[in-house]
Amino acid sequence: MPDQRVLPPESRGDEDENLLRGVTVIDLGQIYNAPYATLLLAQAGAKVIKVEPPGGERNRKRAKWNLNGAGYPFEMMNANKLGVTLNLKIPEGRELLLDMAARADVLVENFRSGVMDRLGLGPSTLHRTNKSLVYASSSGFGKDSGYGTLAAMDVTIQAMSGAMDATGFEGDPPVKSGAAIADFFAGVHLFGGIVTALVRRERTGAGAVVDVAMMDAILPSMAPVLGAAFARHQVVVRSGNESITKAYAPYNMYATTSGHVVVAIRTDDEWQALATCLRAARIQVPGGLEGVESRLERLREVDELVEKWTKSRTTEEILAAANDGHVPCVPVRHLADVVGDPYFRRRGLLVDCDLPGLGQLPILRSPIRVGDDGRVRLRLAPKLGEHNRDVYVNWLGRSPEELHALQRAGVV
Amino acid sequence: MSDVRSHAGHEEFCLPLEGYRFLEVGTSEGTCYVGFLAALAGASVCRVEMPGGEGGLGPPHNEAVALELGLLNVNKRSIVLDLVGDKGRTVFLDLVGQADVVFGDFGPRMDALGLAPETLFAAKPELVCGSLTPAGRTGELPELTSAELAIQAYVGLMSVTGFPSNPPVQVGPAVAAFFSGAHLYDGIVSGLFHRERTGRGCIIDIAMLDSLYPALMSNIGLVLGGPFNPTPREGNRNAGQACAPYNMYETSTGYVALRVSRDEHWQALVGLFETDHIGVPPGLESMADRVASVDLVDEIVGAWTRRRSTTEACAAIDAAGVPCGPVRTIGEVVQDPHLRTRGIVVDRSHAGGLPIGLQTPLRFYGETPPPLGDAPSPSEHDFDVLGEWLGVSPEDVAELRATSVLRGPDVH
Repeated sequence: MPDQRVLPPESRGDEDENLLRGVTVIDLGQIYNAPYATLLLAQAGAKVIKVEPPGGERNRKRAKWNLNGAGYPFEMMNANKLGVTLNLKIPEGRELLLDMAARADVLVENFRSGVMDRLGLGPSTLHRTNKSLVYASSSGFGKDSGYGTLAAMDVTIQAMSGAMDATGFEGDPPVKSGAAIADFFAGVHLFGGIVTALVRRERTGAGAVVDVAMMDAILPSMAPVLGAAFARHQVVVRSGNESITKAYAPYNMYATTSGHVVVAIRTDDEWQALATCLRAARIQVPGGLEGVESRLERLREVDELVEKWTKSRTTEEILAAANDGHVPCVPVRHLADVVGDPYFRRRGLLVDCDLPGLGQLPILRSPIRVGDDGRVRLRLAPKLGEHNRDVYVNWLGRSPEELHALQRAGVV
Repeated sequence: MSDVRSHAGHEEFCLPLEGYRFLEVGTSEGTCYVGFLAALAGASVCRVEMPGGEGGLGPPHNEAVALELGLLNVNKRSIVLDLVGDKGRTVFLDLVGQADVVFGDFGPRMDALGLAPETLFAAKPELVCGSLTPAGRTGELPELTSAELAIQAYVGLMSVTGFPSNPPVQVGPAVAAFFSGAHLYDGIVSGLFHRERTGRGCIIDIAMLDSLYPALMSNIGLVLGGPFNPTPREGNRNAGQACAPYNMYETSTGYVALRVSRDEHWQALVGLFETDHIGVPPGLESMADRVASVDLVDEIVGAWTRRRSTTEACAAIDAAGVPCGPVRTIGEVVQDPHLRTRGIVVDRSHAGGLPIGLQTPLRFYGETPPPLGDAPSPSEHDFDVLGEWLGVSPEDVAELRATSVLRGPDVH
């Protein structure tokens, strides 16, 4: 059946320059964490075979309900992957996976710790038939963690890592990041671990067991919070939109008549540019505010000065003046404006595609941009089991009859 | 390099990036993080600091930032080189000639110095060259500031973070910096893999905006899937209104975060409530019911959690099989013994530095990452690096210092 989904025409990069060309990845990932790693792998040129249970992975099931736009993330997380179905709960299914792992370069999973071992598909088993396999696992706390089998979700890792404690306004309770930062930090590090192991394998032939924890992956981004906590020898209180390390001023969010802007002054040159802007708006700038230390000492006064400028003007007026004066100032944008931003189209991060039932959808491409046009050609997310024949017959060498039997037996 | 052909037997692994030379340019947190990951994967990483820094940000001027950079610059070496003068640029180009990877803040300042990635790559086609800028090297938004707060505002993250009754708020962890750093690391190791196979290098062009966008996946689905929601912040509730209960709940000692993603989870919680004689009215059995009555559901859960400490509440909820975690302060995170067992947090006794260090999240099971060294002081390795990489004699290094091509230690 021809694919009715419409991809816009695009220039095709030189496939020889796809960085991970020739790498085959078995992807057991679900939801966001591991699927993000394999999305990046696929869009760097690796052949990623997404293995789903016969009913589809959890993100695809959510998509079926399509409640409140739940259908979109699946399409965006799974572009450029091949899709097969496989039932790992029955022995024939596990056998098929062992066969696939024996021929693959990488296997990726983000099941709860211990699941793969219980299925008899743990790294030591897989390494017996393919010693150079890069086995990549992402979990909440890592293998052999003191947390045992404690379940991990994005929100619980945000809670336990201190990320929530560091977010919000003073006097208010902690609040989580609106974005799923724990999941995606794990995914982007999982990719890093996998390809780091592949680089070594090119030189030595050695496989590896990549062991990325959501908790580990979020902690480095807490470095400014840690610096601030120890510098002041106290528990960090949430600092709203101020500079967490108290390194810059004015550096905050300011209300305008139509929304909010961020003004982020980090150098004296930038301060001079802002002061010029303020004076042009007939706001008197007192002396003695040169040097970030003096501005930090008079933080409230400095914030009030900027607020005086922004609060009687629209965001557009502020941005126009800031832009003319080279002041680092941006609008606090709503996601609808971000998603529609032509910047992402020109940059190539988003490609608008027509999908039946979903309409026009901005499909995500890898943020890892190579040269001017080193990207793989975009393919949309696979339909459930779309590539069963390609993978099981053409790649794995099962006969069409065998595939048929496997389908009848509910293996695929 | 040691012989590592024994794969998963763990007899002897070399560090994955052993033998590669990385040249780090710039002072942004994202750039520092790339070098951190590379150094702890075994690469030889040399920071090239410029007097004044990229964008004039200069060396850290406060204790919090200095402590933060101390976490991120471990296991690197440092030289401070005047890239404005011809002599300094020649030294830099000589170092690039001996490097496998050069990466960092390739913004307008490096362009003006004639050191754009395109220039370096043209002169050395086997070079892997990694650029990290706010909006990429395609010139779409040339004046966008790299300030963490501004990137979070511009990509829409702030608009979805915080309580509905509050203005937007930044995420405490430096997510813009660390997502872009992690993506750049990913691109660089992909480039090294490709080079191992083809002998050719590449340019990796990372934009902070692009790197942060994917983590907003769920929120983006909401924007695309329904009428625009003018107050998109949901505090600690599920943004997609797909799960309930999903929130942070007050306990007698703090807060606990929990997430019910299946009806069985709710049944398990109801069991806990009943032993506490907390009544649960009928009609909350399905996820849709609970989402529709989310205020009531949160009230019931809160009534139960408030009667116990965070530790007690977490233990009971976890035992019931429901994903949960304590909302920890940064002080509690730092003291967590499990993070020490895992080896991600390491106790240190370094005068003037933090009492803890962070290890790399890129973990390989059964292998030991290199021990954490100290962050270099600026210029500490002028003699070592110029001697080892370029064969420059100590006398000539001293001469370069005397003529301020190398800034030497005195300036700092």
